[in-house]
Amino acid sequence: MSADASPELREGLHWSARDTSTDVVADNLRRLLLEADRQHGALLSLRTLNLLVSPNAHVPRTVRAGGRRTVHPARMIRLVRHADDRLDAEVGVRLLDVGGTQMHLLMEDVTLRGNADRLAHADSLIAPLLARGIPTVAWLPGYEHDDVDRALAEVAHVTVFDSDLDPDPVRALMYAHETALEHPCRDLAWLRNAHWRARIAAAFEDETAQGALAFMPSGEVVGQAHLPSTVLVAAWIAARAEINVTLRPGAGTEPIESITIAGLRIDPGHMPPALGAPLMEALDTVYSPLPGYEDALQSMDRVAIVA
Amino acid sequence: MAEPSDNPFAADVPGPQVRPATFVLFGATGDLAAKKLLPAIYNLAAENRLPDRFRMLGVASSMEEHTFKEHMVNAVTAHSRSGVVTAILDDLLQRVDWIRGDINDAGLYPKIAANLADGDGALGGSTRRLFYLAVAPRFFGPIAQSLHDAGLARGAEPPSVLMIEKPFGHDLASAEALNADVTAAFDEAQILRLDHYLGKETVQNLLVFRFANGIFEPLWNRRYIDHVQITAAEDIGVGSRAGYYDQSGAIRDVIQNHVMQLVALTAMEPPTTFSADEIRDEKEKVLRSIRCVRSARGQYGAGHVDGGPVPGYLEEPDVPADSTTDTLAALKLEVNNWRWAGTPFYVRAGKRMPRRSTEITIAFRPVPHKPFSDPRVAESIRPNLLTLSIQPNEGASLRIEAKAPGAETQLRPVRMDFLYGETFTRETPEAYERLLLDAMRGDATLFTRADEVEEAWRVVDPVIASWETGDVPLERYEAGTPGPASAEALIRDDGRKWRRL
Repeated sequence: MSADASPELREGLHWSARDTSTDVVADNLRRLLLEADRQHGALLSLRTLNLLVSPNAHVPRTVRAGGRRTVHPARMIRLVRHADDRLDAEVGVRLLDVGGTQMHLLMEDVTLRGNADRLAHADSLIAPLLARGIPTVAWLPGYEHDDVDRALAEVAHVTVFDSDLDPDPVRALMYAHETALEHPCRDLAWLRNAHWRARIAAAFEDETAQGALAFMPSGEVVGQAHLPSTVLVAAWIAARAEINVTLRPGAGTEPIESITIAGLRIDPGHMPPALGAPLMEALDTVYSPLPGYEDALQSMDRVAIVA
Repeated sequence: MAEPSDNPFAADVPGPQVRPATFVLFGATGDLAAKKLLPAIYNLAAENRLPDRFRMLGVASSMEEHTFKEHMVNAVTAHSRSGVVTAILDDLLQRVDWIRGDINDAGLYPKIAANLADGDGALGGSTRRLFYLAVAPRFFGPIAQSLHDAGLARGAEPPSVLMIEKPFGHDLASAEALNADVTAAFDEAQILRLDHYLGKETVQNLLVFRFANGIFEPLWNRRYIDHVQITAAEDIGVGSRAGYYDQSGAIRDVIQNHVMQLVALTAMEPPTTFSADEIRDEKEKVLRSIRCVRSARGQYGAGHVDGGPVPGYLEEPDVPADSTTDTLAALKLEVNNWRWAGTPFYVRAGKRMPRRSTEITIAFRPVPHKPFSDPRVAESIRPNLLTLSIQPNEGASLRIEAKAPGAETQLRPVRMDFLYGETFTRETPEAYERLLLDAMRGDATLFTRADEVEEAWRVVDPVIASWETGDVPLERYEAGTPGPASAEALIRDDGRKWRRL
C-alpha cells in the first residue's frame, strides 16, 4: 500500500446502546462483522492488534502526534469517562480501500463510556471484547497515569506512552521507570530520538573515536534539559559509554541542539521525514525488547543537569 | 560480514552501521541510474542512513557537471518513492561530484583515483570505494581491469568493492569468463553481484518464515510437500527492451537469476548462522543438486490485455521478424537431495501473462485417508497451499479446508492471509536502497556469489541447448493468457496444475 493512497472512507455500520453490558457489545460487534462480510463478500480483515485507548488524554506539549499514516489495522477499544453510573457503548465497523490492491481493510472501533468507578476496572470491561491470538497494545495518551491506565497496562502485552507529554519530567521518568520494570513498554519519547542514537553509533564506528572515549570520558548534551526524550538520550550515552554526561539548556527550542561525546561533536544529519509517527513505529515493533531504554532509565544518576 | 565492533553504542541501533563510503557510479546518466540508483541514494539521505563521510562520484561520457546535477534532481523528483525535500536534496548535491570520460580510455582511471584521494582529503578521512557499474556487461571486465591498473581494486587501500548487475553471462562458459575477468582484478569477496529480487522484503522474509517458525520446519520436505511452484509473471510485453531481450529471452532474463534464487532460498538447508557465506554456501549446495527434467517455451502472439488489443512479440518494435526468442519459459526441476527427492519444483516466467505476479506456492500432500462417507465430499478435498507473494502484494497466505455452515458436510477452502503493507505500517524500502546500504555496511548476504551464478547456469544451459536443437518446440500463446499448451502439459501430465494467475 502506497503511503499517500488516502483510504476512501466508506459509510460504515454502526450500533450504539445506553446502559448495556460488554456481552451485548461483543454480540453486536460480531453481528456487524458478519453483516459487513455479507455485504462486501471477499473482504479481508487484516487486524493485527487490539489497541486499547485510555481515557486520560492530554494535548501534546512539544510534538504533535500522528503523521501521514494514522490508520493501523486494529480492533480499537476506546474508553471514555462520563458522569453517569452506567455503561454506554458505540460500535463501528467500516471498510477502507487498500490502495491499489482491490482489497478492503476492516476497521473496528468500539467506544465504551463509564464513570470513574467502572473504568477503574477497565480490565473487566475489555476482556470480553479482545480479538484473540493477536497482540494487545495499550495506548496511554496522557500523563496522569491513574488506576485506569494501570488496569490497561495489566491487560495489554505492551504499554505505549509518551513521557514527553508530561510537563513534569521527574514524574514522567519515574512512571517510565516503574512501568518499564513491570511491563514491556514503548515510550515514544525514546523512539523520537532513534535517529540521534543512530548518528552516535555511526560516529563511534570509527576506531579513533572509540579510542578517544578512554582519554576524554565525558559527554555533553545541549537542548531542552527538562524534556524526558532529551534526558533519555543523555542517560543512554552515560549507560553505554560508562561516562558522566552533562545536560545543558540550549539557546533555541530544539529538543536537542548538539551532542558532544569524548570531544567529538555528533553531526545530526537530517531529521528523517518519517519521524512524524513514532506511535506507528511503536505498534509495528511491539515485541522487540529495548535494552537501551531500560539501561538509560537505570543510569539517570550519571546525568548532571546544569541550569 | 562486518567485523566485530568495539562501538559501545552499536547494540541499541538496529543493523550494522554504514561505514564511510564514496559511491562511484559508472553509467551515471543511464536508465538504471535515473530510475533506481539516484532515487535510492536520495531516499537513504532523506532517512539519514548515509554515512557521515559520504560522497558520490558520477562517471559518464556525456554531460557537464551542472547538467549532471540537474539530471540528478530530475531523476530523483521523477522516481523517488517519497516526496522530495529540497534541503535534503541540496545537501546531497553538495556531496556529489562528477567526472566526464570514456570508460574505455585508460587515462580516465588515474583521474578517478586522484579525485577519490582529493575527496577523502576534503571529507577528513578515508572512505571505502563502491564502484557501481551501471553499464553493459561487456564493460565489466575492462573497467575492473582498469580500476586494478589504477591501484583501486585488489588490495587497494582504502578498500573497494565492485558492484555489478545481471546479466552475468549468457551461458555457463560466458559466466565463467566474466567471473574470471572480474576476479582477475578484484577478490571474490570484493565483488557484489546484485539480484534486486534479493533486496525485496518478502524474499528476505522467506528465510525468517522458514527458520523462525517451528510449525513449518518439520513439514518442509518431500514427506509433506507434494510439489513447489514458482511463478514470475509479467503482464507487460517486451516494450523498449527488445534489443537486449531478444538475445536472452525469459529463461536467461528471469529464470536463470531471479527464479533460481527463489528456488534456492525455498529449498536450501538451514544455515548454521545467518552470515553471508553460510547462507550462500547452502544456496550453492542446493543449486548443485538441481537438474531440469522437462521444459516448455512459448512466445506471445497478438492478444488482449486490459481489454485492449496488443501486438504479438514478432510485431514489437526492434524484434526480428523470424525471432525464436522465448517470452515464456516453464521448467520442471528435480532437487536431488535427501530433503527433496521426489518433490518436483515447477517454475515459470513470462511476459504478457494475465497479470503481474511473482509468487512461491508450496503445495502440501493430500490427507492420507479421507474419512468422509459422501464421495463428493471426499472428492472435493483440496490439499493445503502456502503461497508467498513477492510482488505486487507482498505477503503470505495459507489455504485450508473448512466446513461450510449447514446440515450437510460441505467443504470450502478458506484462506488465512498476511499482507505485508497492512500488517506493518512502515513503508517498504526499495530493493536498491537495501542493497546499497548493505554494500556500505559490508554485508554480502543479499548478493550472489560467483559459484551460485555458475551453478544456476549449469541448470539452465542444457535446457537452452535442447531448445536450440529443436527438441522442445517454440509454441505461440495468445497475449494475456497463462501460456501455451506445452507449459500446461508440463505440470498437468503429472496430475497437478498451475495456480491460477
